Amino acid sequence: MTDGGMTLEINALSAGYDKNSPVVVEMNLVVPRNKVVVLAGPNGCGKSTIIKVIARQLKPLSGNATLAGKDIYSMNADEFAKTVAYVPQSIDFSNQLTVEELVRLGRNPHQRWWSWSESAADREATHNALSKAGLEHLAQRPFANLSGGEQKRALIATALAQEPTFILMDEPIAHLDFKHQLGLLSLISELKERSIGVLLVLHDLNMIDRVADEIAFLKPEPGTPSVLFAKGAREDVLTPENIAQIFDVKVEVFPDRSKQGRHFTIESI
Amino acid sequence: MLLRIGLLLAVAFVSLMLNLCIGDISVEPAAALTAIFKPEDMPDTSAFQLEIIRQIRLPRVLIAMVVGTALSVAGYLLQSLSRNHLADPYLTGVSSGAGVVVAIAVASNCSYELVPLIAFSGGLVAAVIVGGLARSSRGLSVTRLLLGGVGLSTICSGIITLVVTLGGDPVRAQSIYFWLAGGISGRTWTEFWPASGYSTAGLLAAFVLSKQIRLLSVGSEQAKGLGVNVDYVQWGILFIAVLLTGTAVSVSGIVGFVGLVAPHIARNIFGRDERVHIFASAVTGMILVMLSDLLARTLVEGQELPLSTLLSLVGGPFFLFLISRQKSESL
Repeated sequence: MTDGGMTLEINALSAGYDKNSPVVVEMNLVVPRNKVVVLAGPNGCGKSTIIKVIARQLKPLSGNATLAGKDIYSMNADEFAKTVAYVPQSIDFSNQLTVEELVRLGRNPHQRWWSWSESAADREATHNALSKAGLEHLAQRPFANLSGGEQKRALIATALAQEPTFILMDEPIAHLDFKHQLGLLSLISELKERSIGVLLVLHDLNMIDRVADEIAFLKPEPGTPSVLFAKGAREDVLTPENIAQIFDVKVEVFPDRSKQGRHFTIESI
Repeated sequence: MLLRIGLLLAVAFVSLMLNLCIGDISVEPAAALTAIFKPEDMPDTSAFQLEIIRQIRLPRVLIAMVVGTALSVAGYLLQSLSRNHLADPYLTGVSSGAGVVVAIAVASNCSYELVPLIAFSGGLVAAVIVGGLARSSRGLSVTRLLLGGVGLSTICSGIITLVVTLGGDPVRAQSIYFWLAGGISGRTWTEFWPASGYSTAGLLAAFVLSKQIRLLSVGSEQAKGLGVNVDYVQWGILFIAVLLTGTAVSVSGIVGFVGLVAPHIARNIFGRDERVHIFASAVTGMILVMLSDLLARTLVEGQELPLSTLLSLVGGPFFLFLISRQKSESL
C-alpha cells in the first residue's frame, strides 16, 4: 500500500460477543497512518473487543471498520494481513517453533500460500524485525520456552515482519520489564515516523502520556454498554478531570523534569 | 537428517522384502526381485513362485503400504487440526463413519472403484458430526473430540450389525464381518489401483498444505492475523484426512492406531518440520502396517490373525501411555 493518506476508520461500531448485550456501542474512531492512537478505559470496557473487531477476529454487531474506505471484512485475508498486523495479548501456542521460525511466518501474506520459499526481501524483513525487537540472541530458542515478556516481543517482531501499514497492539507492555517497556515505546514512535499507524490498548497513564498522539477513552455505564467518553489529541483528553470521571480515582499531575512533560499519580477517592 | 531418512527408507525396503519373501512358501530375495522386474528371466520351474509374488504378495504388500501411508498421514492431519497428539482416524470415529457406508456398499454390491469415494462420504459425515461436537469458542476440544468419536463409533457399530443382520445373505454377511475385522488378506490389484490413486492425491495435498499447517500451529487467532483463511484451511485439512481414512477403510476395514503411533514415532525421530514430518509419518506408517501384516499371517502357523488385532495390541497400550504422559486435565 502506498497511499499516504490511508486511514483506518471505525464507523458507528457496536461490538461484543452477544447480539443482545453489546460491550461497546456507537464507536467512531480514525487512525491515521502516522499517528499513535491509544484506546484506554477501565477493565471490561471493551478495548480488546474493539481491537479484535479491527483485527478481523470478531465480526462487528453493527457498523464497520474500513481501510481507505473499504470494509475490512470485504478484503482477502492476505491483502488485509499485508496492511494490518495484530499483536494479541497472548497466544495459545502448542508447538515448538523457534522465535525465528515464528517471525518468518509474518512474511506469509507476502508469499504464495503453499510455498515455503523465501525471497531476499522476506529474509531481510525477518532479520530487521528480530533486530528491532531485540531478539537476535534468542532467534534459535523455542518460543514456548521464553518468558512472558520475551514472547510478547516475539509477537511484536512477527507483526513487524508483516511490514504492515497499521499495527494493532493489545496491552503490548504487559509482562515487559521497564527497559523493554521504554524500548517498545521508542519502537512505536519509530513506527510512526515510518508512516505506520498504531492503535494500542494501554493502561499506564504515564506510558500513555509518553507515546500517544491521540487518545480514545471508553467508559462503561453500569448495566449498559460502554460508549466513547472522550477522544482527541493527548493534551486535550488526558486531563485529571477526565481520568477521575472514567476511572473513579483521584489524579494529581506533576511536572516531569526528565521529559519536560507530566507525571501522573493516582489515589483512590 | 539425511542419514536418518536413508535409514528409514532402508527399513521400509527391508520390510517390503520380508513381506515378499516370507510366507508358507519361502522365496529368495533375488528371485522375488526377478519375479517383479524381470519375470521373463524366471525359470519355468519357478512359475508358482512367480505367481505368488506377482499376484498375491506384491499387491498385498503394496496395499499395506497404501494403508499405512493413508492412515498415518490422516492421523498426522487430524493431530495438526486438533493441535493434540491424541487424535487419530480410529479414535475420532472417522474410520467408523467410513466403515458404516462401506458395509452398506458391500451389502448392496456396489462397484469397487466407487468404494473409496463412498467411504470418504461416510468419513466426512462422521468428521463433521464429531468436529461440530468438539468445536467451541476456544477451538477444537480434544476431550470432546475423543468422546464424540467413542459415541459415534458405538452408533456406527450398531448400524453395521443392523445392516448385516437385515441383509439376509449369510455369505455376504460373513464377508462384511471379515472385512470389518480389519485386514488386507486376499486384496489384489483391483483394490490397489484406486486406493493408491486416492492416497497419493491425499499425500500430495498434505504437502501442499504443509505451510498452512505450520501457520495454524500458532493458534487460529494468530494465524488469522497472519493472513490465513483459517476456516478454509481447517476444512481442507479435514477433507484430506477423511479422504485418506476413507481410502484405507475401503481396502483394509477398520484398522486402528496406525494414525496415532506412526506420526508420534516420526515426530520423535525426525523433529517437527511439517514437510519432513508428513513424509516420515507416511514411511513409518508403511513400515508399521507391512510388519504387522507380516506378523498377522506368520505368527500362528496355518492361521491368519486379523491385522487390526495386532495393531490394537501395540497401539492400545501406546495410546494409554500417551494419556499418562499428558497429565493436564484438558488432555
